Amino acid sequence: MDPQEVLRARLIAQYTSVTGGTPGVLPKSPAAAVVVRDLDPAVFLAGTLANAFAVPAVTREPWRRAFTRTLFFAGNPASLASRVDFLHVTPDAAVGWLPPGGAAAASLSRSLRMFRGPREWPGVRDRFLLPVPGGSGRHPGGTARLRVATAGVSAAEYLIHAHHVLSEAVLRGMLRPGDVLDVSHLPDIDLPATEDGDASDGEKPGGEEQLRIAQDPHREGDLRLYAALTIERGSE
Amino acid sequence: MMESRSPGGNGGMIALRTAGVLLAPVTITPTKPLTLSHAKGLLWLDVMYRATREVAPTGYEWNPRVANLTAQTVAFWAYLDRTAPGADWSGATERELGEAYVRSHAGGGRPAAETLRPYLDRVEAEGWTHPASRRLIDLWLEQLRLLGVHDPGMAADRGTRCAAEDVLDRLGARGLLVDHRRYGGPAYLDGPRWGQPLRQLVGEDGHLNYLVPILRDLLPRVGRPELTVLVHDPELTQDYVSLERVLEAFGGTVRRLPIGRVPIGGVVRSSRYGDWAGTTLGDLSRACLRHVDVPTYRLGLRIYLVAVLNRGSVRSFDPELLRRSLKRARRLIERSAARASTTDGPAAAEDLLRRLYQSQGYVDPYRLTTSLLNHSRPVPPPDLARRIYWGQGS
Repeated sequence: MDPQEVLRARLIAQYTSVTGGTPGVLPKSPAAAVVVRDLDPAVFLAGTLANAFAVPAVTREPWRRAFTRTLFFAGNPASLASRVDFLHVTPDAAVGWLPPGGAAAASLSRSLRMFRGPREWPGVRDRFLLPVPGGSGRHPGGTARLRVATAGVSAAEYLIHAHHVLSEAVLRGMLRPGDVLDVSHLPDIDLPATEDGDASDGEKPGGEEQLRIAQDPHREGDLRLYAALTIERGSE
Repeated sequence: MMESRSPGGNGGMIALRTAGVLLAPVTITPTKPLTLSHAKGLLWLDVMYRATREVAPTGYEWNPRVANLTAQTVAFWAYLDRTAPGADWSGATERELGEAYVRSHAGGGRPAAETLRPYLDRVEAEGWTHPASRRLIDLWLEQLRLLGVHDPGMAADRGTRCAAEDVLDRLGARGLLVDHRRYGGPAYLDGPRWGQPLRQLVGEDGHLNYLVPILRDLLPRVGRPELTVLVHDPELTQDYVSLERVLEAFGGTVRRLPIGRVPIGGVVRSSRYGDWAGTTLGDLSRACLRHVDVPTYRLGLRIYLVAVLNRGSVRSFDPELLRRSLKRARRLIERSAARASTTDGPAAAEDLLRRLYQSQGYVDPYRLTTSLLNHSRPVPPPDLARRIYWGQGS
């Protein structure tokens, strides 16, 4: 099968599974906002997970159905702390998250600017492990493997791709507190093999993978796999 | 940068944290004729400078390099070289240069960074000024000499006190920068910490905003125990509030004075639209000097632009008010000359200067002018009045 056809089929399956076949993103769909001063991949990914777990229950489903729509702003979270309530701020105060659907994002757009980072970033990195926050340590979780494509991927694109794949995985219950995330940044990544070898099989809610497939800005009309999250669970 | 020592000494009466004043106005880009609004700002500064230096060490910061390192200036030069390569500008009139500036804006947005960079590099490396701007500055200086305005160094180009990279490093070290250059993005001043918007200082294309050259001169000076007075157009208030906060973050004591423009027929428009035709300082001085002598012109324009129109005034230019100001100037000069030998005036006048200085850290031109030239008061001592209002050009 043509790899583009496979990606297209996966994307449609994912879309259908999120929206249940009804139109997904509506004009009033909630958007989250992220304020970025500095980026460290491990800090950013850990923050993305912590934020997704912190999203209030009432907003989780609307935000998931809006494909975790998120606006990224350039700014210093510490300088805004007195005016807006961040849902989560990284320990180095370099990145802060505002809850989906809040009024703060609109007011931020007046004083901040959209994040701009056209340079390829973070590029290929050493593999690292990240605990999924909230685990008690008593129940060993599963090991999730996150692979992110970086060749030709700008900092601005990286934020979007990595943020979607992790936020969506948390909201649909695929990642749980206590799991461990094994993160690789590679030039290009392949689709994970499915058990029955049928790559066009759609993902199932609570399933074992979360993909980020999007238009490739460098190849008009083509889709590309930007991030793939898979998990192995022991017997439960 | 001109320094002057107070002839009267500071008398040890300064109950302020600061010792001395640095006037730091926004530098006019050498791209356009001086308008009435420019004249108002320059006269305001001139009275402040001359009056404040009577009682405290006073500096006047004006480095043409700062204006030449802006996109506004070098985009004008690039336009001239593209449309009139090799032209001889040495005999150009103010009108010809002004019209070229208006045309340079008719084409729309700013040229690409690659077009501007060679000019910026040349300004940086050689202190180069385009011949058209050199000609304009000569024309400005002629008009300012006629008006008796102290030249703060409009043609005295010098290197800035530190490099752009130093400014960005210092801001970064203080945590005042949101710096996304490593992602190929811009670098911003963290305005939100002061309730201001994020302000881009360096573009994605590496272009430096006009605030950077200003900081290159002001930031290294900020540790001195002087009061820095930032003087700017009201349109630049947001940027100048940020500038004020930055200097304060580095320990500076700062006052910020926006000076309202003088609308023509109710309209304030940027020089780039060419609405100045017929109302430039040159036009005005020619019109005035057909009726009055030079000292009367000097004092009359000061009475009109400093005392009749207050600093923040938004009143349109009114020829009748100017005519009355000139008339009043003539009477004052005559009366002042008649009492040239009086001796009780100087002490009272110096007292007034000191009081004004102590209340604000500089001598406010409006308060000084309205006090000194008040109808009910005796005329000001001639020496002082001449030094501050209609005196020599130094």
